[in-house]
Amino acid sequence: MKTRNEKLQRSALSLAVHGALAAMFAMPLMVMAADDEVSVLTRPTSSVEVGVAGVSEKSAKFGEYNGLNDSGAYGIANFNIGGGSAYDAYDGGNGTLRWEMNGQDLGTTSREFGASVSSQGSWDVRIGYDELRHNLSDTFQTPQVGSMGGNRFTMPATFGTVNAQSNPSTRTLDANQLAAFHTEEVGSTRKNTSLGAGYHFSPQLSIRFDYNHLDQSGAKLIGTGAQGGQATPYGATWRAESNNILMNPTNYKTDSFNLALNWVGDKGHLTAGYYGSIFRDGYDRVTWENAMVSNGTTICASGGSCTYQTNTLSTAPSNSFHQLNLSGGYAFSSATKLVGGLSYGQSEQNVGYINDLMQGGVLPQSSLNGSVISTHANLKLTNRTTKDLLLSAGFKYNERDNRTSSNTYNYLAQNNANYTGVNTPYSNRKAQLELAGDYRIGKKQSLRLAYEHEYIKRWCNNVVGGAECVASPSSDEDKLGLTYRLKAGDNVKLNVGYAYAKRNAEFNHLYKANTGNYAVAATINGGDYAGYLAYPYASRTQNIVKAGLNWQATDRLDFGVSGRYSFDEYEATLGVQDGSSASFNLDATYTYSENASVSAYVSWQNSERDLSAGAAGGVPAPSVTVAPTNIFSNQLKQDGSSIGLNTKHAFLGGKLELLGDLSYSLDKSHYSTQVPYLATCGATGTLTCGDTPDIKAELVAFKLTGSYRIDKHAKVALVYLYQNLTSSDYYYNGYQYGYTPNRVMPTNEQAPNYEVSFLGASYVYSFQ
Amino acid sequence: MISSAAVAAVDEGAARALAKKNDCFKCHAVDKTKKGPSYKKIATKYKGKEAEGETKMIKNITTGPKVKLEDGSEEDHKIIDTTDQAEIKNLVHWILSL
Amino acid sequence: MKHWKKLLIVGAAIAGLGQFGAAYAGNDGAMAKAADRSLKGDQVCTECHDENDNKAVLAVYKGKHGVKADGRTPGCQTCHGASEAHVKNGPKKGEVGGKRGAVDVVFGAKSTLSTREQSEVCAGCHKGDKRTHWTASQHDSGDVSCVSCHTNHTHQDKVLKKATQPQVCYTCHKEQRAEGRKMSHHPVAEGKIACSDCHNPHGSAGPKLLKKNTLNETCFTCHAEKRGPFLWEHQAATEDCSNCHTPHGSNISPLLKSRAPFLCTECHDGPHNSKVPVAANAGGTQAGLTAVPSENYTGRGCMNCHSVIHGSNHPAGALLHR
Repeated sequence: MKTRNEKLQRSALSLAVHGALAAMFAMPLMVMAADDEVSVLTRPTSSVEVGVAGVSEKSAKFGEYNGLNDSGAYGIANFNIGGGSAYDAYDGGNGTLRWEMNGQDLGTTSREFGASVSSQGSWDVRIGYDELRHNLSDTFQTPQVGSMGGNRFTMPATFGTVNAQSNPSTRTLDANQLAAFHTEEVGSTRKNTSLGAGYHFSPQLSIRFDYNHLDQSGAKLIGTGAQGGQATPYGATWRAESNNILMNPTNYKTDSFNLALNWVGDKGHLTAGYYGSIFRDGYDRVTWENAMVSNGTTICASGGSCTYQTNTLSTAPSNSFHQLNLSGGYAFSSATKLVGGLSYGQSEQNVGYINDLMQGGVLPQSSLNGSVISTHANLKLTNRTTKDLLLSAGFKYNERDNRTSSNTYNYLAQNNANYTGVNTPYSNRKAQLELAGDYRIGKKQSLRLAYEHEYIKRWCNNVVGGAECVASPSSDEDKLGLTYRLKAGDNVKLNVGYAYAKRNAEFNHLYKANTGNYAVAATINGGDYAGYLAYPYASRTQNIVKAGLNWQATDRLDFGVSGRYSFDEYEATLGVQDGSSASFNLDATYTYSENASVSAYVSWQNSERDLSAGAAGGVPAPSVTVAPTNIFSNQLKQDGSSIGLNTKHAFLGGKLELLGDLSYSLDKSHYSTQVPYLATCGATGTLTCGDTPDIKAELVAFKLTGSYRIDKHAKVALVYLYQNLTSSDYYYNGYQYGYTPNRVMPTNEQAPNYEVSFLGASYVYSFQ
Repeated sequence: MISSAAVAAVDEGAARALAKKNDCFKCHAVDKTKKGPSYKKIATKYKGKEAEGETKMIKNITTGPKVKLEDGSEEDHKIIDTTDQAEIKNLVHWILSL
Repeated sequence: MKHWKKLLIVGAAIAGLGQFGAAYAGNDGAMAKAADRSLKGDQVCTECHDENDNKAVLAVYKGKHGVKADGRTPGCQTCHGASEAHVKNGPKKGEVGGKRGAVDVVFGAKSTLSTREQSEVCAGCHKGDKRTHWTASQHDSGDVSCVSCHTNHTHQDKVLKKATQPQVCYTCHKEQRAEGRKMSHHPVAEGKIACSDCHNPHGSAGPKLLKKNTLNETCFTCHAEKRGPFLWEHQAATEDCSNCHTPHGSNISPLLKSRAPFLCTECHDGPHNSKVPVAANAGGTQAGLTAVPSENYTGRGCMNCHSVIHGSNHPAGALLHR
């Protein structure tokens, strides 16, 4: 619900240096001499800000996106300058030239810079540079040797192999092996350089070109399974460190282009454009060595040399996408309008295959030669039948037609056994029809009724052997929505809405995922052998209720309340049964003087998902559906709440301004499982029923910004930010040191916890 | 000449702020004629007759009678949104001091 | 095919009703353009609404609307109407009391015009391109007018700048404000991404006001490495990224609705471990377990091995291991 508070406050998570800049713009203008008063209003104010800031603690999570992940000092540098003859308009000037240069956070890895120059109504050119380092972990440790961002990792020469004891709980990494672990600061950097230009041939016809070059480096963490992970001297069931978490390089370059020709007439308008996106991956694979016994009998002693097994993981293949777009509209009259659009696009990918792990080294072709055609069409007719009634009818069509060929691949699976795989290139099509009517009842009320029908079709154009490749070849959904708005008196606005949707999905009960001859027959991937339905492909009813209220209690006091509840129910014996989500928000703002206000908000969210599955089902002949046994259930429950308080006040006749921001948020998620068929499910030997520990995150943030105006041009600003994140997550348990009783090489990844103080002082000079 | 009340120091900043907040400047500029007379013109009119000026001005801004605009038409004078007498007096004295 | 027929029938019905549409004249762009857009024309208004006005009316000259040398820009009366009752003194006919008449077109919450009528003033010039789908779009039907988000009389309109845009959206979209604070989030609060990097609030051909034709296409504008096509595809990912991800914020990294192995169990009931009940054993040995905790449930769960989850281009990657 919209609150009327125009004096919006920054969120506490925002970069503190942004806070200083925001403080400057929020500053009330001092009363000045008459000429100055006019020019302050009609000419742009440029500003330069320099300063220094300090961060108390090193934390990758605190500095996840803001570049403040190291403790110590940072430089603050921001500027925004502009000018041009276009600003002479109030003084009778006839110029159209406008130029601007700005830079933000130049002292951090989150820096950005932009410049533009334009002659309004004629041409414009702009350039931009934006950098963002996504800091992922500063506690990640690995024995693998290789730089972060590179694609080759090897074990240290004297690592040996992990002590492959028969009882996993007695496996340890010895002192020599532990010493080989080193910390890597994992992060992925994005550098965006952009260029844009536009030209008006005439007031009706213009052309626009935009180019963006995205350069990514660094890495993200990924799990890997080693080839032949089962073999140890103790037989096939005992495994050594078969999982290694690697720094998967994000060595990417993406070039995107957009060229559009726009024509605007009196009654019609048309835009014809081209969009292209070319993605290049600097690597086609990542290789790593695994400290596994290599042949089932040999253990390499720690401290001695060893021949390690090298594994390969493919990386994201280079691809390109080219699309032609056409969109336009025509107004038959001031009441009837038609808009529509067409798009035709092609994605291609043809990176040479990595040819290891093929049986006999044989590949059916040397690369995929992948091609997907995406088509889109839309049409919408709107008619204002009377002053109070607006009718609309719309149609949308989207198709992903995968023209890639299907082939048979004979490869070695992770357990070194021979498998035959057949690739299934997926295609889908979606058609939507929407009819809606908006009716205004007098000046204070309005009602909207909308009906929507959606049809989805899924298929594969070719599959070797001709097997069905999708579990749900089609589905139909009908949706009906009703919204009512009321303006009660001058100060209260209310809205209530309800939507109901029913989806009927066609499900192929004999479907079995085509993974070649991977020989586990029955319950594969959504096949209904056990009455199981994957939820995106199941029939479903959906109910959504929304309501909001906005009350301007007095000139100074404003309240907003809103809430939403949705409930999805799936028609499936097994699989997701239902899901619900609820949210509630309350905002209040009190503006007690022209430049002083206090506002507070509360947000609460909750969602639940209920799932049933059968742990056992028979292995029937293809035409028989076997009733499942050993049915268990699982719920995901998530709760989130946040409260915030912020205040703004000016002292000393407006010279000193203080902004205070305090917020608290708590998020909890956990899973509960019930296993009625197993009496010992809760025993410490199994722990397959009960609750997981909470995935919990608690964040307290406090920010105080003070700015003092020295004179007409200069201001000093001081920002203090305190942030405390306490989080716990069972996810990290399996990656800790101490013992290696599972099959994953420890990584020392930790749940983020930090307590950071940030203090910045800057001098802001503004001029015209 | 000038009454003792007018001799008390005038807070120009506060007077301007109050005037701006109440949209006074929309019709009265300091030294330019708009829909209403400029403040300098008013000050000149009441030079030597400050007490009378103060009374007349306070009446206009607190009771909102019909006033004649510079172009001859008539409109109700806007009523100031404060009951603080000191504030009002400060404003009026500032106008008279121009 | 049947869908096209339905549309034609409905379209014909609406076009038929359109004959009665002439009753509503709406705000005719041509009439508005007749107003004097020169600086002299503006002086009718800026005579009183000058630098001393409570609202920064003159700040319009700092923005694009105030550049008089560009013949497309309006004057005060082009958007606010000739407003004779306000310009000439005295009350409007029939109005009690001697207050100055009202301006023809007032923008904002206190306006007597409906949000649609206010938006039509702007639409007189701002049509086409990004605003093609405005009429009957979600915001238009939601009582949102152009001025609900845009400010004209200013140098820098808040919604046209990445760092300040989200707060304008958060005045109504409180859920997204709360979600943006969770552990895993897009860098919106840090000022690196704005809502308009994914959404077109003026109406769009895509779902939920997304910029591109489909949700996946929108995500690929920044995450092109997921576009493929891959040799081995993951159907849930190819069809819709939001089958697993939730873009505004999540307690479960990276922007997941749920995590492995539970997330995978929502679609997979076999083979191998996807039909096995999991609870506290997902917490590894430290959860008090004495038997061997399995990498199938701890940490990344299924994705400790099935890691190339968005699709694999390795000939031996049929099971998304490679």
